[in-house]
Amino acid sequence: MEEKFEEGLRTQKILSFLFFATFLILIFSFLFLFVSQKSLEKKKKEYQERIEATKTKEIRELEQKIGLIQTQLRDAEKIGKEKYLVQKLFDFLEKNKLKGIRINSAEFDFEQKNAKISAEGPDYLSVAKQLKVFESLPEIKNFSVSEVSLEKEGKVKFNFSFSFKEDLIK
Amino acid sequence: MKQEEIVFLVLLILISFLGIYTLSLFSQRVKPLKAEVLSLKQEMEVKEKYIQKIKETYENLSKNEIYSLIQTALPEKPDYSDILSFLSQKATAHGLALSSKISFSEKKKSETLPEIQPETQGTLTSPFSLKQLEISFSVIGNYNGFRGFLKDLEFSQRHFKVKKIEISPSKENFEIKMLTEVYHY
Repeated sequence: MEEKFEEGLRTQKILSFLFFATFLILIFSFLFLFVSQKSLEKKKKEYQERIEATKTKEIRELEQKIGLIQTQLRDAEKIGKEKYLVQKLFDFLEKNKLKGIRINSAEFDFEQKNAKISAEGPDYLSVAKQLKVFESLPEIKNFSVSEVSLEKEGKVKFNFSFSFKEDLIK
Repeated sequence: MKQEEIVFLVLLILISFLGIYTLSLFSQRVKPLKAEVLSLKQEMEVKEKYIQKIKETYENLSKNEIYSLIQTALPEKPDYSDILSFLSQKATAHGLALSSKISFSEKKKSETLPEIQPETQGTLTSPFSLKQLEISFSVIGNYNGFRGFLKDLEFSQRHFKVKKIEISPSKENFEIKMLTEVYHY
């Protein structure tokens, strides 16, 4: 009788212990999850604010400035490759102009790479020599003379045109 | 086992299951939040790294001597006043008289050369397009002055592209008509 009573008391104690243990575990688990949720929500808010902070006007302006520099660099590279120096054509003409020949007027189109020149020389022979020089130059293409005329003062005027190779002004 | 002990045990089991079920529901609510926070963290780190990088890139570029050269060669605005003062100063320096009329004309997009259009990189399109401004003017003076002027024009920091030159006699000097082009954004 006494033994049964003690056994019943032990079972009650075990059950009570199990009940409280389960209850405590559940409470702690809920607490842990609750704290985790709150902490995650706090972190989420913080990260969202930090992400939002990256979209400021200053950053957008900086992105725009860098974009412009990148475009400028790309365009500068292309322009640099296409760049030509027109003064090279003048150096070339000066170098190949014979003594006594004077250029009166000229038209140069550097995009079409052609030139129309009106010049004068002291006599036909000088003009012929000059024309021969221009005709023989490998940098010049489509050389043509449109007019040669003897002026009253005895000078010989001549008009010619040509196109030139791109290398000449590069 | 007594009847009340059995009831107690059943209650315990029920509470345990109910507790575990509620916990799993709660945990399922926390899980996506955790994933969202992780993804936000990654996004934030990427963005902050990106900002750090662009700030460094901009600082490095600003310190580079090429930066100032490019700003002058291909400026954001046409800078008419700079062009005008440059032409006037250089013409005077070489003993040339600058014409009374200087024309500026912005080239239309259809007229722009395709090779000068800014390239697209990947799928991104640059919001900046290079514009061409034609400048037509003439100078009067001697040939040597013109050559000096031309040299300064071609070697100036602002990129001048000489497109056409017309030389014609003017009294004892020459009148040189020039069509040039500059770029801006």
